[in-house]
Amino acid sequence: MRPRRRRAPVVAFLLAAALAVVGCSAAGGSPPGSSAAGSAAADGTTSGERTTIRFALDWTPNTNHTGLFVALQQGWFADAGLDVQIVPYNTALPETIVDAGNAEFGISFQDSTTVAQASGADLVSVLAVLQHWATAIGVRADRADLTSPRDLDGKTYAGFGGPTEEPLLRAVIRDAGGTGDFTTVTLGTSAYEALYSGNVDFTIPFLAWEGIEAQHNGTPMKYFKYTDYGFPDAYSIVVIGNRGWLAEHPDAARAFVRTLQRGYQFAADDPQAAAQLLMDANPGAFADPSLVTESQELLAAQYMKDADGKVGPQTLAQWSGYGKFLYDNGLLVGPDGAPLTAEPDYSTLFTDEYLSP
Amino acid sequence: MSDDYLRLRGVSKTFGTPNGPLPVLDGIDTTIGRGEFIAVIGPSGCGKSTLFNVLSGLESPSGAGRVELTGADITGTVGHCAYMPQRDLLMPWRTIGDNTVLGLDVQGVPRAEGRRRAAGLFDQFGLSGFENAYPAELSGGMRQRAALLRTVVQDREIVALDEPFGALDSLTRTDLQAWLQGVWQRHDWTVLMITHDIREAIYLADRVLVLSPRPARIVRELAVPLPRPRDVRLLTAPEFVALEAQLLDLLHSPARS
Amino acid sequence: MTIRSEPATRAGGAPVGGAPVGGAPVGGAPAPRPGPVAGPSRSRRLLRTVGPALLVVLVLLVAWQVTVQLTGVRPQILPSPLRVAQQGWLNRDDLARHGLSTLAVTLIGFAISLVVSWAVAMTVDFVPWLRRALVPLLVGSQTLPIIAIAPLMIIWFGFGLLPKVLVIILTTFFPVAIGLIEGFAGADRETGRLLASMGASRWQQFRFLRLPGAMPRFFTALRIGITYAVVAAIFAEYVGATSGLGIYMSMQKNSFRTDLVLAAVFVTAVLSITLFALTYVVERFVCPWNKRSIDAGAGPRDV
Repeated sequence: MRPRRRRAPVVAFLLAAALAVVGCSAAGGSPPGSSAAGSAAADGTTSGERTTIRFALDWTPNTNHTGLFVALQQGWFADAGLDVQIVPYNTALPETIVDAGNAEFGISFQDSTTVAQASGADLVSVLAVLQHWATAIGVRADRADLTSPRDLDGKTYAGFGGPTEEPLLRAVIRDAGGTGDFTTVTLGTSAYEALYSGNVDFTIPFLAWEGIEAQHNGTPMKYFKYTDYGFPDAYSIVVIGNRGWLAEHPDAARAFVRTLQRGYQFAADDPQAAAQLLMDANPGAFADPSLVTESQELLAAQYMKDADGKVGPQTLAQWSGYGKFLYDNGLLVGPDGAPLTAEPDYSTLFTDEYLSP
Repeated sequence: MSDDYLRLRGVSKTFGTPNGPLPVLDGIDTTIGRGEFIAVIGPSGCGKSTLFNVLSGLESPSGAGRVELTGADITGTVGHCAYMPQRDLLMPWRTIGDNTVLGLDVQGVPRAEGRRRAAGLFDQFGLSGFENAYPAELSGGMRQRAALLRTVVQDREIVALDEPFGALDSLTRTDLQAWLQGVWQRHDWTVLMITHDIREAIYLADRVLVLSPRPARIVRELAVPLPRPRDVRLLTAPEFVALEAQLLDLLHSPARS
Repeated sequence: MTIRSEPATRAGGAPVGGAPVGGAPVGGAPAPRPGPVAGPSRSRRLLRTVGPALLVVLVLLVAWQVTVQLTGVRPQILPSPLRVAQQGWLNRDDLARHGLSTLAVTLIGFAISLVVSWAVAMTVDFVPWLRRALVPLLVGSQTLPIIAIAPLMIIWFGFGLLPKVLVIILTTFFPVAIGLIEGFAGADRETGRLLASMGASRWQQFRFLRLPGAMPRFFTALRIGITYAVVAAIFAEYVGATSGLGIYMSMQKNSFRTDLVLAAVFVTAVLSITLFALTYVVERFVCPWNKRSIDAGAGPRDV
């Protein structure tokens, strides 16, 4: 039958086309350690004098990112021979982007990094931006009926679709004497509006951002901090890097992380100047300059510096503490899709080797 | 048969067009008796269809023209005339049975009653067994017959046929002409039929109205005194041929004004 | 050939067997009354329709699987089809639960969208000058960026069913409304005049002519709208939801489970295709006059 004979070449063509398409996309996410020197400058190899570094943000620019923008504005990256490009916020996670090799560094959180690495991502935390939890359970301050996390039983939580949110909330509520039964509505970026307008009962704001924003809006919040209820402390914001790339570019890695650390240190020592630099770097992004300044001051005062006044260093104790919670709650899932049966080595999650001594 | 059943008095019609006024009908004046079969014949574009629109009430004549039925003025009112257009216009989404009762649906007659009325005619119209078929399944001749059934089942005083067989091949047309004569004779219809076929006009009609080119007036009313029922062999009879010659002369002579 | 249709003679009885009666084909008329359909069987016709598409999909899947195995790419970046299938099957309860949630929102939202489309289209048909006022709005509704509007919906409408229905309406109502408006307006003018000569009112014109005549265009537009509907329901979950495939995909993305994200994408595609195919079923039921040409085999009839 004539039509059948004509199909074979069509099938062959389609097969070839399909292979080409799939091959290209797979090559885009080249496995770690194989970024060839011959590839284009986009994967972080040296092109000319300056190394290109792509940095993935977790959100629209805010005071968690100040160090980055300070260093950019002051030209410190350029001085160090680095061309830093910012990958703006979209719904893809920085962990995924960095793991796939489409960015060299990015903003992350201790739980995301732990979960990502357990699932096989080749990431490592190279700098702690915030030394402690900077989020908390937030409810509207005028809610007289909510005085303890246990009052959140039966209420509605506006979530972001993260796997660790509910277990954390449940642990805190139970420690306060509740059952931990609440309804979750996944709202993402709209979560805060929903809280301000009273459509939900609680969410997880950043104290130094949404918290101050709520105050300025006239709908202040009150907070339940996790560590008040026996929960382990954690690094709220960290900077992650792609391990394969780090191994191949130790000098550029060191140059970048130290410069970034310098930027964050500046932000912690002189929050007002840093806030201004953040705003200068993102014209039109901040409708409320006082929010930026107050936020930076709060971060500098309470969150950014370790016991020695330094920004950036990390400890095994803190990585282990929260890491154990995640492991115990079955939140660490291996590459094959099944929860880990053995506790991971938390020391592989972070390194201070690229920081200034 | 020559009582004043239907009268057209001084019916004129002028259309306003971007190029100026266009007169289409110019003082049509005629009387039609109950049960008569009238053929209307004229050159293309002379306004035959406009005449039918006025007759059926879809258009009103310009000026003082009137249409009267048994003395009553029915100018511009629809509902007295059952109109069969050139295309069968059978709705593809309706079965033949449902198509034929369309006019009754519009009148508000309940479907069951309408079906009953139509059912009586299916046999004569050669459509028995096709009540549940769709128009797409029927031949051209059958569709025309279905359209005619739809027209006559409405039981209006006047039946106006606009070139009912024009789209059919000549064999089918001849058959349908014979058949139409038969069913018309069984019922009491007053029929006006537009045609461009001289033979068809003479074969079927009691009188033939000949229209001039636009703006149309009645140039001649030709009586057809041939006895009924008329057989197809009549087409070659001398009386028939004589009438045909007169019409040919009227229609094709250069001395028409 | 004579037609046996003289008044005195019966025009043949019970011709359902296909014996030509009064009007049998004269050189090229349609085929006689259908009896059992000669030609390819139902199942073979189905295979002929979906076969080529299935073949292409199969080829792509094989290429994908081979590529993943050859390059050794990690499942978090690009899972193989087998991995997607396996993990999808393991998590089928979750996928089913979220899938049903999305399906429910889709059906409710799309049903309401249809009601709105019909209401607008009928209004425009009965009040012609409204067309000039409303059609630009219709076009504008198509261009609103849902991602930007969804958060605003929460402020205005909360996050119950209403904002989700609104999102689905905004996304799906345009093609159906336009299809109906043009379908109604495309009614055969001569038939309209025929109805007028019968004394039909405006409403009767609509009921007998404009509405049934618009059905083929309506179903074409319905198919276009329904392919957007499932995706629209998933967009709608951005407006706030407790469950649904959009929520599930978001959660799995945040857990770095690319394989489950793709499994959910597959479920979305299956839902869309099923709804799409369903429109054909409904169309055959509502427009049976097309059925016989469909049964006779896809493609033009050899008349």
